[in-house]
Amino acid sequence: MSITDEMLMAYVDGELSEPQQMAVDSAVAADPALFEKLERHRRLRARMGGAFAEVLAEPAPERLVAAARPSNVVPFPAQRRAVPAWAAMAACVAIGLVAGLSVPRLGSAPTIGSDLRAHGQLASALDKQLASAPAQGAAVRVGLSFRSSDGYCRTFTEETVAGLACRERDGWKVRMAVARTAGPASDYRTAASETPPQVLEAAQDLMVGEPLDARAEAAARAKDWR
Amino acid sequence: MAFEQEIVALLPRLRRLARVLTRDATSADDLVQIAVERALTRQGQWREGTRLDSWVMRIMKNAWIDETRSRARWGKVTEGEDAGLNVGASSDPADSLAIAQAMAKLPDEQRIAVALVLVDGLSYADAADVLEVPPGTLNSRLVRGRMALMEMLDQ
Repeated sequence: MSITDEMLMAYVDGELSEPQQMAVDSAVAADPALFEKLERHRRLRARMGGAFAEVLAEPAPERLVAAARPSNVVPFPAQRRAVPAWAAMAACVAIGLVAGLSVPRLGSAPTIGSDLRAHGQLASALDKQLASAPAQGAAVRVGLSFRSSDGYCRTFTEETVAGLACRERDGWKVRMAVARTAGPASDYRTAASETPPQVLEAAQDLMVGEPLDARAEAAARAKDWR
Repeated sequence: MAFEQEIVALLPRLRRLARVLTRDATSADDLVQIAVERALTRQGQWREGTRLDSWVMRIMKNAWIDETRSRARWGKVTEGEDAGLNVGASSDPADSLAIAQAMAKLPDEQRIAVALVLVDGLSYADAADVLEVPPGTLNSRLVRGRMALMEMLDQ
């Protein structure tokens, strides 16, 4: 019976049946080269197990322990879809209370981003937060920073809304907002860190070049995104 | 033990698995957080009597695949580019670094197969269950991944 690498691997993984094990044992005993091969597989398994072992001994960060507490997870249905402008506006009113989007003219059939300015927590997150170093537990999270043809833009996510804001002379203007809650069909709330695809698509349309890397982002912040 | 306590008890293993899959410790914990949040909101879908660890790891695997796809689409992310690879044991940092670098070069599907069996120590059956692939598929990914690792690690 010829012993393949696959069998030797299964042997060190403890996945062989007893007769197969015995076959490997006797083949290895009779063949020093095969024995050396088996030892290499054994060593690889031992090295792999050891290489990442340290994290097991670390205490889990508080944010992960907190995430496992049911009170922190609102079972929002989270099917993300493009919403009509009015729905996004309604969502913005909701987020406005939490994160600081101001919605000046609600009655006038607005298009998304017609006159939405960020203030409060949202403005402050857009001003200060680095996507490359997200703030733990922040209500608003910045996902991606990039340059458009007329200045810097950034995507953001919040519990119920995600969107895209661009820096203008007098502050951040929200170009797009998408409700992150909809539809009874879905069964989970997506993590706050996830940017909905339609926001990413909008960002891609506006983007000139590549997203900012950590260094470019820090430099842009240092210049107040101008 | 309550469901959420069991999840907390799984955190060290989830963090280790995530570190094998992602480039840095922060991304790894982000991935764990997504998996934990999803696990809690989908708690009703977990069937009593089946393995919770495999179930949560499957959720994490799917979140990782989503993430990997969106990264591939973007080509580049706003992440510290000089962020070091995840390195584990301090007993032999050089060896850990070599292994992390070699792992990072494996195709995703081989990397996760190797991570589940060699790093986490799952059986083939459980690993195939996490990956939602037939045992033969798991096996061939495992064989190819390990042969490539042995080549790269020169052992």
